[in-house]
Amino acid sequence: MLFTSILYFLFLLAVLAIYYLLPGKYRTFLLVIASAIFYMYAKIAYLFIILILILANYIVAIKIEKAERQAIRKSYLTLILFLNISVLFFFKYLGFFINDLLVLFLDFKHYNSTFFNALILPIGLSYYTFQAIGYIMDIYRGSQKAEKNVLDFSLFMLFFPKLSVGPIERSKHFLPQLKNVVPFDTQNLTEGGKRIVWGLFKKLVVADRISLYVSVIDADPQQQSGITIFLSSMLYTLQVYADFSGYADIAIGSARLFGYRLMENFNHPFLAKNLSDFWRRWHISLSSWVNDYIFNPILLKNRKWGNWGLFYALMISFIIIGVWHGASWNYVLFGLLQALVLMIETVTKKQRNKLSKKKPVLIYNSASIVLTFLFVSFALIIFRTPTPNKALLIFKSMFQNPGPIYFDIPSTVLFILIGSLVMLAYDILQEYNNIRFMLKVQRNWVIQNLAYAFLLIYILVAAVFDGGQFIYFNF
Amino acid sequence: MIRFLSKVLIFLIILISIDFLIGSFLKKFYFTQRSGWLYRTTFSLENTKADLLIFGASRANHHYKTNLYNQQLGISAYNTGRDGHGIFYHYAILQGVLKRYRPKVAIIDINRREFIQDKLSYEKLSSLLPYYDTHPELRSIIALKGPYEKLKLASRIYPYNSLVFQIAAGNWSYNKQRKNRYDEYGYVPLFKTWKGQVVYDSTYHKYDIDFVKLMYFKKFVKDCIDAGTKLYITVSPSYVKFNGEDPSLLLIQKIAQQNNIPYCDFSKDSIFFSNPSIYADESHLNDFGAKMYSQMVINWMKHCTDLREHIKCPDKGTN
Repeated sequence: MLFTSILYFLFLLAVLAIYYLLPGKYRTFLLVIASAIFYMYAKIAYLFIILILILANYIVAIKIEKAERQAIRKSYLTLILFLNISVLFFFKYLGFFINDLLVLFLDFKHYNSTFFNALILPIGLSYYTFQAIGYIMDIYRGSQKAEKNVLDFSLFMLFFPKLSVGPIERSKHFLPQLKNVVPFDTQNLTEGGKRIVWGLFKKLVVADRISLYVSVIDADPQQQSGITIFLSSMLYTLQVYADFSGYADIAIGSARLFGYRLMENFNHPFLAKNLSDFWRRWHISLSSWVNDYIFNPILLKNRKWGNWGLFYALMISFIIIGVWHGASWNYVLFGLLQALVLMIETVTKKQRNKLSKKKPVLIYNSASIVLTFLFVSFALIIFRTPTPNKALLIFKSMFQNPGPIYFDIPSTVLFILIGSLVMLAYDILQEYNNIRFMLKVQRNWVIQNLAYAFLLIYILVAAVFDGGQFIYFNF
Repeated sequence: MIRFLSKVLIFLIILISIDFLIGSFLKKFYFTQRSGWLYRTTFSLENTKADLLIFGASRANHHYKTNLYNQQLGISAYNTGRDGHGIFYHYAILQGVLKRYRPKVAIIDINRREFIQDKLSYEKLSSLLPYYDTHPELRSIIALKGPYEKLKLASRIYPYNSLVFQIAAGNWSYNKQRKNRYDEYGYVPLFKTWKGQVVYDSTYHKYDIDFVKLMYFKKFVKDCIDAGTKLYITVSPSYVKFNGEDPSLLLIQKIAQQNNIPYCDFSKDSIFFSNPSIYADESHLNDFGAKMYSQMVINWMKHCTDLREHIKCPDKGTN
């Protein structure tokens, strides 16, 4: 059930109406059932996978908390981590492991890859297994109490707005919200509604429109001029952002309608002044998860190594971030490249600080933002091409193919331009707190309503209604 | 609560009013266009009275030089072809036409993989949304787009989604003079010259047939026969050599045979592989190539049937 489909909004409205009509004590049950139906809509079998993980994590978390001996706690932890990772590995990585790794070393004469290629990744698996692992780690560390209410825990895992494409929610943030009955609050409805409208704008007006241009170039990049490939690469970066953050906005808005607050997943990433800043603003729920459960423990363990310990932690963390997106060499390479540049940033920090003091702030900051955006766009070429060779060919074509810039039909270019400018202007205004123009703090009710009505109208005028999937559904 | 509900109500009233105003504005200007592909669809559905109609996608639109048919067959011709569209669109245009008159001759240019199962063919039905109100005969075809189309059509803007700039251009008289924007009785010439090599399409594989598309093709053939329209089925040339027989083309050949309809696959003719300069790209002939191809089609049509006699005597013979 796509978040941009009529079916989703009919479903959302129906669940919302029943939710507020029901007495408080039945609401969690309703949301669990609704989430299960939402998940079953994709494929019934998926539900069994998540139900097994819910039950296993629920029981083992309580066992870990109750166990007095450290060895037993560790055994439970190992057992449940093994289960969570095995399920993820089986569906997401086994095919890659057999097809791409083992065949490099072993001679499989009669090997048939059909079975592994036919395995379909259950929607949202990467998101909810990471969520479960985070929860279990918190219980093991003692920073979170095990949830005793099976319905609350089920909702933490299943809650439909975040089920398919995150955010990867934290138990500390989400579970306490389930302990109180949410009173009917019109602000939740209006704020949730506005967030959904903004998400629809980003996804349907910006991302899907850019995709019309980028897909033409992607079909045969070697036939395109270098300047066209360059433009397409920049646009793809905007597309991924609009697509993924648009989805996150709809997810956060939908949850807010029920009175729940999901964690933010983006914080104006294209205004980042360097790559470490970028990763604090981009897919925050994943980067902060990796920071808490991978990077910091490795860094702590290897603190005696100084910078080498930091580099090692960066390398492992970013390979995991890369591979989280999928089982493919391009994601490994993408992760390695991020780690490498972050290492360079660490080493050159002093020199960059000195340089920043010598140059006017506006020029230095603008140049930093542009350079970071360019690097991210180039890295995304590796991210989206299935093999390093193909990525290399695109880079070559970018610098070697002469010719004019390719413009699609003028309306596509105009719609892209208007949509992207509005999206980026909104981010800039928010980042620099230019609140006079911000709709969300605009107190005049009529202006607010007119503005959102026009935004909806613009979506009707300029959206791509026959668009495809969300890019991050694949992960 | 009452305050909140009244605010929601006011918001909805504002929204519906703006939608109505802008939607009505777009509708008015949609139908006052005098150039461009949106105009050509309207013209095909509502105005053309040509004796010979050409149906098909981009390869129909850019390959059938209507002037030549007018001159050499001595009948009026109009090219209803539209880029990226398939059998649903052709059938819809035929319905719009048959409501008004019975054309004497029709050519349908078909593509390989015509009946392949794909979402895009159904999404492309959005081209017919502006005619939902005024053309009841198209409603059942538009309904193929999805179960919620009727609900979406509650918005007055929705039928004109993404069309605002095209509508503006179609109302702009300068548009008619622009290269690649004007048309000769629906035919839009391409002027580029392809410089590539012959493409060998080795991606051929068997695919599942979309039986809804097949059904609409059969309906198209039947409606032509019932209306007494002499139908010709053609496959245009391309600079691509395909590997093996295409399942859709095999089915179409069979239907043509069963109904005694002339069928010709020009995509296998070696003359079209001798020179890339007759192409604008690997799949489309340029204006020069279209002239050459149209002449071949005319010769073939003359060869397969005594067309003139057929036109002179519409109510006998093959009718």
